[in-house]
Amino acid sequence: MIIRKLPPPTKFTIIDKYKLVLGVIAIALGVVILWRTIPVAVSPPALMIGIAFIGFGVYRLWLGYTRIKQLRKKE
Amino acid sequence: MASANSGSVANKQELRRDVTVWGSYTWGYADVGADIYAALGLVIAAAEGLAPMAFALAGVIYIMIGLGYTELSSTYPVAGGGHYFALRGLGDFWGFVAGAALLLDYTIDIALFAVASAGYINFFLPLLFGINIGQIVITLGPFHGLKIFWMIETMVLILSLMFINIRGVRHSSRLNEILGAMDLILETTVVVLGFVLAWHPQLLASQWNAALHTLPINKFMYGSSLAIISFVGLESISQAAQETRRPATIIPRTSIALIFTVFIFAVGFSTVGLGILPWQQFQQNISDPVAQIAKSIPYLGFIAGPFAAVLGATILLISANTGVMGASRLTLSMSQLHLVTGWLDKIHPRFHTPVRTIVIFSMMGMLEALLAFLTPSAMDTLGNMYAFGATLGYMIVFVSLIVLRYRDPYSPRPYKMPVNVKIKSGGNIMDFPLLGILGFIGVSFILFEVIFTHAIGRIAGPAWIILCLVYYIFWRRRNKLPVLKSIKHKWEQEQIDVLTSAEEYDLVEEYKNALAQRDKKVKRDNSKAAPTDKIHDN
Repeated sequence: MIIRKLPPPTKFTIIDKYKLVLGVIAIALGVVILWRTIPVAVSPPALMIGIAFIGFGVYRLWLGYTRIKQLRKKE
Repeated sequence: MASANSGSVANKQELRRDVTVWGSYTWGYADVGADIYAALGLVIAAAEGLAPMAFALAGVIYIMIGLGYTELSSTYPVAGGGHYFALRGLGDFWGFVAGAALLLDYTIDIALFAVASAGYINFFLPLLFGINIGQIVITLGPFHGLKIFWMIETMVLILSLMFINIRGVRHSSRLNEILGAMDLILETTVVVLGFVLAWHPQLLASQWNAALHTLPINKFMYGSSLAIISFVGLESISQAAQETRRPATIIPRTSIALIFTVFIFAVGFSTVGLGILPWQQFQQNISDPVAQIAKSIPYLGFIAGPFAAVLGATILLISANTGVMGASRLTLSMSQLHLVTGWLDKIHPRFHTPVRTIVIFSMMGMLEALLAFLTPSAMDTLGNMYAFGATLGYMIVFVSLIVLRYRDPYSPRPYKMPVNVKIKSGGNIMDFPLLGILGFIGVSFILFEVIFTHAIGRIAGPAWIILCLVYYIFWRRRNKLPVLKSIKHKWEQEQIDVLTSAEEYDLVEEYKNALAQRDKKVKRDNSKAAPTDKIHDN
């Protein structure tokens, strides 16, 4: 899977901050879902959605981290 | 064989390239994001406790459709979407069939989401007038229970969207962007607060187990085929491709982000919903399932009603707007490619929008809504017809994707669908898309479910396609164009024109180099073959 690279970022925008906050919220939500589900019932949809939220959040944070790294490199 | 310029954008008045990254994302989100508001209640009512599985199943297939669309719309960034890909891969006839199927969806999209949006607006009417005038019914000849005020509201909404779209993409795209952002935040809030404050995993598990043992298979099939309508909308990004700046760079990003956002929301809403309320409550309140979830959130319940109503009304309205935009751009593309009358191929000199197609297909959406109001449930009737067009169109698009990998290996692909096998074909090595095959099988299965379980869809859908084919045969014959064969298109020049107009200059160079290498190879092969021919001749 190949996607063309975007030009390096020039500044850390409000959208970047939003994405990072969303990443943190998604991880927290995923943990809450798993934490509440596992002790009471093994429910496949709940496990699936919990893991999906954690995965989504990690991906968002990784994107944000990559962007910060690119910015620092440029500076 | 008849010959024609295949609608080269360079020779015609063009759609403006105004849509940015955020615009492209919200254009798609406006369409796909709204679907869950209409589909959630319908799917839970059908699939009961297995609704998350129905959403997940349809969602996995949709991910494959989405990746296929991402490849094709970044390779061919023109306004036609699915029909254009089918035309390039399979010829004019199948291009028309795909276009007719997707057009059915766009006009239903206009009607369904305008009806649903008006329904959410009606939430406020009791507060304003003391009674819910949206529910006032009259009898008109043989039609009883006609919700006249709701119907008028719907017509007014569609007319407003028509006006916005005639004025130009900048206005309507801006509308999508603002409302799309609002709804993203609001949907996230409902899901997060629902899971944290109101969700009971025991309730979800008990409903899951009960459905697993008692739900008939045909009910689950009906639910999962309805679930596909909560993912319809990626076509919009393809439609917007001709108006997107640097599409080869932007489209893969926005498409992939959109695919996963919508997937998470669809499965998330059904999981949180069934952990808050029993499925029967969704069945009783099929028109406002998201409001039912929001209302059940502790501490926030008192504002949940108006909150969910505003959320629903806005996002459903922008989805209807996306339908107007998509239908008009699809027919514009079809007329430019000589699949429908050239009369439609007219862009307004001042607003730079396809004014005739906007007016005609908005009116068609109004007619569909009007007819749906004559049935016992307008929402149900329109929802029932929605899946057929999408699944048929997607099936043809998957075949086109596979064929185009073979027939047009030279066009630069800024994004390629993953999981490919290298095979040798005609002296070239091509990437055979295994995921494309899997996606085709998945969509075929959903189409089978639609035909098997949808009483209205299995009749109205094929009837629409047959009606369109009658028009196609009549129009092509009248204009002395081949019906089953294709017009000779200048694809290579068109590809260069399209990439140049999109300012994808590096891709233009890459394409020209690939063509030059191909020509060199053909020449070399011919010169090698020539002496052999002489020997044979002797």
